Amino acid sequence: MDPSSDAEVYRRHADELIRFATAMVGPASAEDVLASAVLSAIGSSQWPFVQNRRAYLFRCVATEAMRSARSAERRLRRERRVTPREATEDHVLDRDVLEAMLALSARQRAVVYLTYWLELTATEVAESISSSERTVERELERSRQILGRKLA
Amino acid sequence: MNTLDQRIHDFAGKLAGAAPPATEFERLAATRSTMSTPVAWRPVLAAAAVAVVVLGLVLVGQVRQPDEGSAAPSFEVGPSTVVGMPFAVVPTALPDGWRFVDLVDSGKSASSGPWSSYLFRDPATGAAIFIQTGARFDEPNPGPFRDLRESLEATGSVTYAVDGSPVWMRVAGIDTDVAVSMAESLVLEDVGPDRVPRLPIDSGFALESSRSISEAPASSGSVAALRLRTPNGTVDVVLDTRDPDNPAWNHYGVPEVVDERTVYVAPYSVTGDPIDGAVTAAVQVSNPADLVGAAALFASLERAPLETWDEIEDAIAADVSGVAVVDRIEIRDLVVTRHDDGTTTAICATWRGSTRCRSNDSPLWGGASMESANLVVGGLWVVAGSIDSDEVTEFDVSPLDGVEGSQRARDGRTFFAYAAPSATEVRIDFDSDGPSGQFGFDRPAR
Repeated sequence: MDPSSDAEVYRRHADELIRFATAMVGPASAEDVLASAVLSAIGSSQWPFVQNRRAYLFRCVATEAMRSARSAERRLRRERRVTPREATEDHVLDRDVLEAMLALSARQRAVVYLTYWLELTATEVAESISSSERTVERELERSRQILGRKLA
Repeated sequence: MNTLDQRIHDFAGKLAGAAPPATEFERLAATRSTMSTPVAWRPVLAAAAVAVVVLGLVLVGQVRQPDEGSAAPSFEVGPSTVVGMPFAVVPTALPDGWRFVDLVDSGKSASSGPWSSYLFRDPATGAAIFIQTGARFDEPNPGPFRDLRESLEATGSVTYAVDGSPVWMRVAGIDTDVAVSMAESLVLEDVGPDRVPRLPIDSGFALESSRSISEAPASSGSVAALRLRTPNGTVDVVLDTRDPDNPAWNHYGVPEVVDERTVYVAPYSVTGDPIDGAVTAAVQVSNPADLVGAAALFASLERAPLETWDEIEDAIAADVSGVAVVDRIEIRDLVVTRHDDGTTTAICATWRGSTRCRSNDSPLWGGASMESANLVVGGLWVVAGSIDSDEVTEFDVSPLDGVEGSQRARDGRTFFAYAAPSATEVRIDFDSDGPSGQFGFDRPAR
């Protein structure tokens, strides 16, 4: 694949991937996660073989976000301390949303985002985060319980 | 949607809405060259596809109406213009419980990127540090992408910037603290067009071999991959003719003698000297638990006639084609079937008595929403796939000439198959009430 093709694939999916990364690790870490995931994907020996590059990139972002979960979590908790109840800046989450986000694990955030925002089926969510349908269903149920309390 | 579901939906929307703008690709591309490993390859991608709307809301269309029934004349295929591997490479012994699930010889590829590679080793322990460097950035540094320690701990590798240049460091047999210290103290020197890494003199590591940008051979060659499934995950044997004589890459890892052959074991790979001096091999594992088996597998790799790969592909087809058939398309005397038993999903093509299959075990497969199979059966190139929707509103196949096939919707999915006897690339753009996107196929050598 030539660089212009890589660029084309990236540009086509960059917006939805950065949103997914943000949902998993927050706005402050999303760019790093996306950059790392994309570099890892296009540097992979599998990349030239991948036919469904959108799904592959989603999986890479999910994997990268889960790997970076600990440091992203620390960053989010720092942000929570200084974030006003209602954020006015762009790319900053207000505190209630941050609180709810921090109550979920990275995997649960991915499951919630992919299920509720992208409206994927449990099978598709499982593929996007390299997990099983059973795990996705379990994580979704737990997330609903947690968010039921946090978003009340 | 109940109240809680609505609140969660709004919550997910707020998360998405807080996303910053995505980094420009050009900034990522500045480091991309260092991500191209000698075993990675870049097939030639053709110019933009010509879009032709074929279908309406209900999917019944065809790009070109195939001749009716199997009485139609068979396809004529000539010798392939796609050059594959010069010979097959096969393991002569498989660890217990390992089996082949995919084989693809992707044909001629181009482009390897302007990287220089350097292998350092601690002679006392055999530990290795493999470093690739690229030219200085024209733009501001696009990093750091990840925390050094976190990355080295998790993957044994890290991509970061040193003195304005991209650096990809991979380590084998080294404690994380030492690796972090090496990464932090790395110095780059300008030597001609190269940025040469220097480790501290007292580190115990010495430069063992290197391949600089100016020494890199022409970036053309072939790449093939065989995938095996193991009880722990997957193992890929990646073969490359592009740069076989590159000890900096071939010897990355801790040396170990297995069956009288020296192999080099790294956190997720096993490498060694090229097979028959012409084909670089790397065995890559998805789970480090398979490294011992991968080392034995590498040690057993041998040159074989290309027909040996036919036997492997026949065995894969025999495994997969037994899975229940859920859909079928006939194009002249070519039969393409979709299989699904809840665990294995696959697409097989049968022509002139030969069957080739790809399944969800293949790295080429995609996901449940967009499955695809790209295969050559008896010299005939076939592309096929399925989309998780029976409401496909747009389906554009390019090129039109030299491509013949059809699509059909059934049980919530749209299955398509095309024979492309004279094409070397096929693009399909589609939109549906579910997924939308593009399938891009480049003709493989086999």
